[in-house]
This record gives sequence, C-alpha cells and structure tokens, in this order.
Amino acid sequence: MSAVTHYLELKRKILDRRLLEFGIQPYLAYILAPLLFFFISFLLFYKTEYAVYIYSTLALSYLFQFSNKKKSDFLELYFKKEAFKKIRIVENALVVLPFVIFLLFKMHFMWALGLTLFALGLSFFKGKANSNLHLPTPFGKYPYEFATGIRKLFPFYLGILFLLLMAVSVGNYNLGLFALAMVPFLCMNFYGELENPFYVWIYNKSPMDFLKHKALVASFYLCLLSLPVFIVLAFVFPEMIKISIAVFVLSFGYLASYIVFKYVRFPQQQNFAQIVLLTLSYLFPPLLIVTVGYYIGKAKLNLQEYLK
Amino acid sequence: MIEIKNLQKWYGAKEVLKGIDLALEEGKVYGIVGENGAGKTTLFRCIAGLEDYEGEVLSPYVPLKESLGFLTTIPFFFDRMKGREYIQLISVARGNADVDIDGQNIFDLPLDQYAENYSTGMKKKLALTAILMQENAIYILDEPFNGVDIQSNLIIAEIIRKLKELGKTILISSHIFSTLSDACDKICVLKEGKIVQEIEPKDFPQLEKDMREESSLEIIRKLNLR
Repeated sequence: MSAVTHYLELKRKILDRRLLEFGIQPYLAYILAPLLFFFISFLLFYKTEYAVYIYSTLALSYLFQFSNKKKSDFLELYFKKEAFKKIRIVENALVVLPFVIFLLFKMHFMWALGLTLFALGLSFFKGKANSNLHLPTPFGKYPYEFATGIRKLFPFYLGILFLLLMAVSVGNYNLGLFALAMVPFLCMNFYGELENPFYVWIYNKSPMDFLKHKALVASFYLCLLSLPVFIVLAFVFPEMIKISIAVFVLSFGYLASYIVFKYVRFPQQQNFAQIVLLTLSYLFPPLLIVTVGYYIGKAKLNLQEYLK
Repeated sequence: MIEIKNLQKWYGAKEVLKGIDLALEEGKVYGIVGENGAGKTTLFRCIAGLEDYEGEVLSPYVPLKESLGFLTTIPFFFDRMKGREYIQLISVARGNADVDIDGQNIFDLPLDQYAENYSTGMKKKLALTAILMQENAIYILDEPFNGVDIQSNLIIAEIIRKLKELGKTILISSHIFSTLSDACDKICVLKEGKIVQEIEPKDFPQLEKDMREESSLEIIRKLNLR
C-alpha cells in the first residue's frame, strides 16, 4: 500500500468513527449523504437564480476548512514531496467534486471549471502559520467565540454583505432575505468548535446562568453583525419589513438554541438525532419551544459536571 | 555538517530572525536558549523547510526533511486517530512500514487510545517515539522535556546521549537549563532573532548564573506580589 493510499484509508477510518459517534452507520451515511446533497442542491437552484454564487461560496468555504495549516505542516514534514502534493490534490478534488458534478449537471461549465482550477491551485498554496496581523473586532469584551470566529470566517461575512449589495442593486428582496438569514448560520459556525472543558469550568455560574450568559452574549454580538443587513433591507424594501423583522428575531432564537444543543453532549459533538431535531425545528420554528425546552434540562445536567 | 548561513525570516514588516549563522556537526548536541518569542521555534521551522526564509540551509541530506526528526512544541494529531495509527502513518510516510511498534513503545503509551485524549506529556512522548522509530540523521527537539514526567525526562536525556553516540546531529531547545547543560556540546543564546552568544561547556555554569540574574529578582519585583 502506498503512503498516499494508507493516509486516505486512515482518513476513511477516522470518518467512520466520527459517523458512528454521530449515531449513524457509515454505510448508511455514504448512501444518504449524496442523496441529501443533491436534494439540497436542487432546492437551492430551484429557489434562487443566484444559486450558482451561493453554491460556489459554499464549495470554497469547505475547501478553505480543509486547507488547515497545522495539518498541512504535519503532512509536509513526513510525506515525500510528490506524496504530499498528491494528498493535497486528492483531498481538494474530493471536497469540490460533488459541487462540480452538480454544476456540470446544471450546465454551468465555466463555474465548474473555475472551481476545479481553484481547488487544484490551492493544493500548491502554502498558508502562513504566523502573522502579526490580527483583524480588530468589536467582540473582545466577552471572549471568545465571536472574536475567534469572525477572524477565521470574515470572508464569509463579506460574502453575505456582497449578496446584500447584489440584492439591493437588482432589487431582489429574496436574495437580501437570504443574506439576513445566513448571518445566524455563520455565527453557529463560531460555536461549532468544542472548547476545552477548562473554558467552561472557569465560569463561576450555575449551568442555567452559564447558558443564559452564553445566549445573551451571542445575541448581542449577532445583533452587531445582522443589524446592518436588517437596516439596509428595511430601507430598501420597506413593504417587506414584517418578514425582515420575523427573520431578524428568529435568528436570535436559532443561535440561542444552537448554543443549548451544543452543551447537551459537551465535550462531545452533537449526535445525529440532535441534528435532525434541530434541523426540523429550524424548518418549523414553533417546534423550537418544545425541543429547546427538552434539551435545556439535559444541557444543564451535563454542565453540572463542569460548573460544580 | 549542516550549515545555516545568514538566515533571515520576516513576518510581514517584523524581522523575527536577523541573520542566523550556525554550523551543526555530526555527533554533536546543540542547545538553543532564549526568551519566549526570541525566534527558536521559527528557526527550527525554517531548518525543517516549513517556512520560507532568506539565506541558506546547506546540508548533505537532500531533501533535509527526509533525514530529519522534528519534535514540535505542540505535536499535531488528527481527531479520532489512535496512538498506534499515528506511528504507523509517520512510518509509512517515511517508507519504513515494518516498525515494531509495540516492541519500541518505550514509554508504555496506551497506543489503542485516541491520541487527542492523551495528556500533554503523553502526546510529546508519542511524537518522540514516532520520530525515533525512523532512521533520521538529524533531530530537532523543540522543548522535549515540557510536560513530561521525571522518569521519562531521564529516558529522553539518555536517548539524546545515545543518539549523540550514534553520530546524529541534535538541536534542542529547553527552558530547563540543567537538561541542556548535561547534554549539549554548545549552547547558543538567541535574543530578539539573533544569536548573541555561543557558549562552550566550560562556560555553562557562568551562562546559567547570568541568566538567573538577568531573569529573576528585578522582574519578580515588578509583579508586586502580596
């Protein structure tokens, strides 16, 4: 077995372990994931004419998440030069492949080609481990999720603002509403990484107060990020203000519920059942009252171990 | 011999290594000391080829990294990867698939547990075990004693002596002076990106004394401990 094959086989084993921990059999996930991916892709392209932009942004976001500098250093240090390049190319190609197939299916040939070339080009790009440049953020007072999250993912916030700009310039309210709805989902990413339990333990709060504190900080900072989008929509599309307000308010509920769900199994990742329930609740928001009500008790119980 | 000539490294506008010159001979142990942020890790990363730099790193081993065992300050592990798989991956990557992992598990590590769940010291020991299983000519050990228990520290010190006997070139950084003074043939003092002193063993006690005086009393006074 070549070094590259050994590495890819190990990565498959690791993925299987994560899927099992997530509560889903790997073979089932390998069947369901492509079906789900193509279903969501169809839905996106059916709903908006700007799907190709959103779609490519999503592909690039996955690609950048894969280009982790520490991982890249590790591979570069131990693998021979050719093997290292092969790994980077194969990994990047695997990430963009489903997107490229669907773009080809939808006859967006130039986008498919552009995405493929970008993915291959990124395989040869060496990121920087250290930099003295730090993006200043207004989120320093209550560390750490928003401050670190926005530094990692600020291009996506710029992407959201770009979508808003396009929505305004072409007078497409739905695109603007989509941009507003994307903000809480971007912020959920800030909370996606599980912190060391030490960062929970340091709080001198009861589990309920801890969750309240986290949700309040998240809501305040979410407000800073989504308010500019909301204000622009309110001014440009005043006749749609009620829908804008509904989405704006709902985004706080979404983010707060995500925080509650995060701490149910902390320091382990959420499992499949939780993600399904959370997704269903997001699709049918009144359900959030029941699911959050149920999971808040579990999160409190789980946090007791760290907040004694 | 590995020769480092006028090595310079910039992070943006900040010059972190300001023309490093070093000659590393076979069968010798070199220590690098300096405050946090002096540039030790950056120097090691440049030698390993993980950073772009100006200047030269001349070596009879081309490419150098294929003969290099680099123990980083914080070793990298994939999530959900067992200790055994970590060693296997490095061994296969280096074209050395037939290593006796259990036989060479000198630190008695629980190799069938996920490496991410190891303690700091265990992670360090796992990474060190993995690089020792490869036939390297040069070793760069960045803080090898950090977080490691006393017994294992003694084993690591003994390993360094054995590697030296085998004619390997070793470069170590450590904040524990005694570990360096026991093992090194030369200690280089790195300050603000420059090597300001190269000390021979006879002058190690004086270096330790100077470092203590420079670092302790006045600085502790600033803390205003009550």
